[in-house]
Amino acid sequence: MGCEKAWELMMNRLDGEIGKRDLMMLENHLRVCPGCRRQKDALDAALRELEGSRPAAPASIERKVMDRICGPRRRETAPLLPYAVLPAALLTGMLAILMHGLFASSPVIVIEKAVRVLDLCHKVLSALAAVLRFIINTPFIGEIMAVAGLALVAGIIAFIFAGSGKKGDSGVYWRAVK
Amino acid sequence: MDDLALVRRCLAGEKEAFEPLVSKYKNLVYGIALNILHSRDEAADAAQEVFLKAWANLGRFNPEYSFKAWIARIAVNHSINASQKHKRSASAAWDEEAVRRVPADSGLPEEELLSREEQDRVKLAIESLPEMYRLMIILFHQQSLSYEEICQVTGYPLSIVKNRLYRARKMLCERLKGYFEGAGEEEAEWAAKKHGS
Repeated sequence: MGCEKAWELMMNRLDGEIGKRDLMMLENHLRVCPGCRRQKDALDAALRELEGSRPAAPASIERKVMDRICGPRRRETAPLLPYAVLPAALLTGMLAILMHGLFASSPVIVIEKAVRVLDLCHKVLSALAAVLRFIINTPFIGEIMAVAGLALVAGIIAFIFAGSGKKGDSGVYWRAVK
Repeated sequence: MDDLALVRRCLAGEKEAFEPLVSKYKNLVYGIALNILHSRDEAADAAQEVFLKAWANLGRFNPEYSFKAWIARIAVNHSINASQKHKRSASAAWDEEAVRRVPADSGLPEEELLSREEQDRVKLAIESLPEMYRLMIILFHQQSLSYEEICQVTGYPLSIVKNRLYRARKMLCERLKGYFEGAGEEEAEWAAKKHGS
């Protein structure tokens, strides 16, 4: 087999269109022809490099494209979530103290502590009631109640809209934006 | 889910269905753009524009063709247009692309240096091919497009695609043969010295 035929077979090999017999003939030729072997090595190295160096697109492409198509993505984090962190932390702390008391001392001590906490709550509520009594006795009680009512309604509306604002048009949530 | 089903969902107004298509083909589009524009930033911008063009023209997508070939075609056309706008020299492009050229005193093992040198030679050889041939090599060997898909991308008949790929391989081989001959001789010399000593 001549070098031209060998080159043709090399091309067929790259296209995945070479039979066993032709492959064997090519291999035999490459064994005895250093020129064709060098060509094959050069080509193999080039194609290996090409296949191994497939460029990876920046990760931000999807976000940028989808932002342009759908508008900026909303964050999945609920807007009111940060406000829930402090009360949750306080509640967890109180529970932790109570549980610690329960396991570290006798149930009688835990009951005494609970009574003390209840007593404290009673005092706080009494102070609140005194403030309310003072407010109710003022001549502006009507205005104060109206403002409080409006604030309550506005708060409820804001909460409902903040909750529904997380969803997209189709109701599918976007992944959290980092 | 296959591409056609996603395209249909997009056409039905479900914008989010386009995202899997972007994820699936972003490397292909970016790879084509990078090979034509030789700049990461420009290629990233071009990739974005290609997807936006595809989105805007999704209604004109012919389901008889593959989405892969269609998006690749948009990428090729867009990148060639962009490249004509910002014509630049190939050598500057390689520099900008930060080809991994390793200085002699980099402290790397000799084998690694040789391998990197080989990579650089290969890259330069590919870069030196005329654009129409380079594109064939990139689409077939780097982006793994079939002959049929390359025909759809370029709009050429199969005979021309095959012929150009054949020539591209031949040119690549010619450009690299010298380097491999040199390397082969050096290797033989080293082996002779080793056996002689």
